[in-house]
Amino acid sequence: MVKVLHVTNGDGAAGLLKASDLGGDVLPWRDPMHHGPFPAGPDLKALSAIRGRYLAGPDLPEKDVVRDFELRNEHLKAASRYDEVVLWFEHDLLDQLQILQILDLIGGGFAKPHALSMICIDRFNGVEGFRGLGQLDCAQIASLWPSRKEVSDAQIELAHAGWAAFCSADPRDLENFVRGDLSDLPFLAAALKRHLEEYPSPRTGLTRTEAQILRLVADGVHSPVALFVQNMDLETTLYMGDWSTFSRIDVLCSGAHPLLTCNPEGRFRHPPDETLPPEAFGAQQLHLSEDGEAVQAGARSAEPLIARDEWLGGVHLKSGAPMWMWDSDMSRLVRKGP
Amino acid sequence: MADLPKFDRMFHQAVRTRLAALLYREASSFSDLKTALAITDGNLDAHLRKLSAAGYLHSQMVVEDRPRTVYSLSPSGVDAFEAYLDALEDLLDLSRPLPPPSS
Repeated sequence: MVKVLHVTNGDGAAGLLKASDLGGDVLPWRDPMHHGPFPAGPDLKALSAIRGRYLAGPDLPEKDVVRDFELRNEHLKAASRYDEVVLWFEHDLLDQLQILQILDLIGGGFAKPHALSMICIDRFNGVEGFRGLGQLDCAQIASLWPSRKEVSDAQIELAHAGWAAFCSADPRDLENFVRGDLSDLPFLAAALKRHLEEYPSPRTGLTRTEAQILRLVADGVHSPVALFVQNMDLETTLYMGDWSTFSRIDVLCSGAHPLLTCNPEGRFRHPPDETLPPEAFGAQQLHLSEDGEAVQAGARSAEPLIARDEWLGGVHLKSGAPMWMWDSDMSRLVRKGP
Repeated sequence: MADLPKFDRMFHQAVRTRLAALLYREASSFSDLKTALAITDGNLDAHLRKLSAAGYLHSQMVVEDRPRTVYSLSPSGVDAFEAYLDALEDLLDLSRPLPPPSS
């Protein structure tokens, strides 16, 4: 019997594959790669420690996060124990970044599968508004099996270049990469362009996600869950989960000049805070602050109001230092500095 | 002389035999495994890593009060552990005294 390792973007697709009749072992890659640091240089072990430090929180101990990354890495390294490794992904930013990292690792010899194939889709017949593999049932996901295609050398080379550009401290490397021919990974260009839109705008000082959230609140959407759901509808290819969205809301509620206020406690609390009862979380109401109203009206920029200290791949965005921004009108990066 | 059964070295180690037995039975968290096995974090880490490097470990993130990972044997881990149990049974069979020769 052929031994297969299925690599997925997370637990949703992994659970479906485990429950399907395809057989084989399943490895969820499980890293919200669209935010937080991915500096160029560190090897995978060191990078896992950096990611663990970044993703850890009061309810997610760093040592647990790092352990899971290291177990994940060991499993991928065991790829040669299988007859075939199959990558199961979709078209969105999160998945495209995971593809880049995994193919870069394989191209660099970290893992040496005997055969490597990929299933990567942006639609599924009969599923309206396809967003991801996790929407399918076991029979549907298993039906994709015959459509897997061998990963080509050109795809691995492209992923290697894309991964280097994503991890570069100079975001112009990624901007230039996106302008090239990315057709070997057909969903990559759109996904990376969406990534660039998470740089703040030189006009508003807001990232695309922040601007979407402020606009929804201004339009009368006040509960965090409704904000998450309606923000999903504003994305062509959804990539941000609920916790990531709540973290962005938290940023907008924080600092000396919050753009959002939160009732009833004043500060926005969100999962995975284990002391927060679900009903208390759902009862919170977000409103525009005075500064938020001014930003939303275009009367002032959010740039001096949001204290940024965040990473997009290899790029550190920090208030008070020269900052890269995405000019969506010109479709290019610009650098603004104090 | 009867052939002696061969053991998968992955499971033929005191802690990992017990660890695999627990993972074979049900998915368990790191802290539950640590308590059941009465070993240190570092020791359990090392044994889980060996299982993962053999492809024998599955993990799943579950969210109850807070997110946590539970571990179980992967299908290939289950197959390998069942083969190991079969080998143990073969050894037990071999260890039984031969019946006295009938006269």
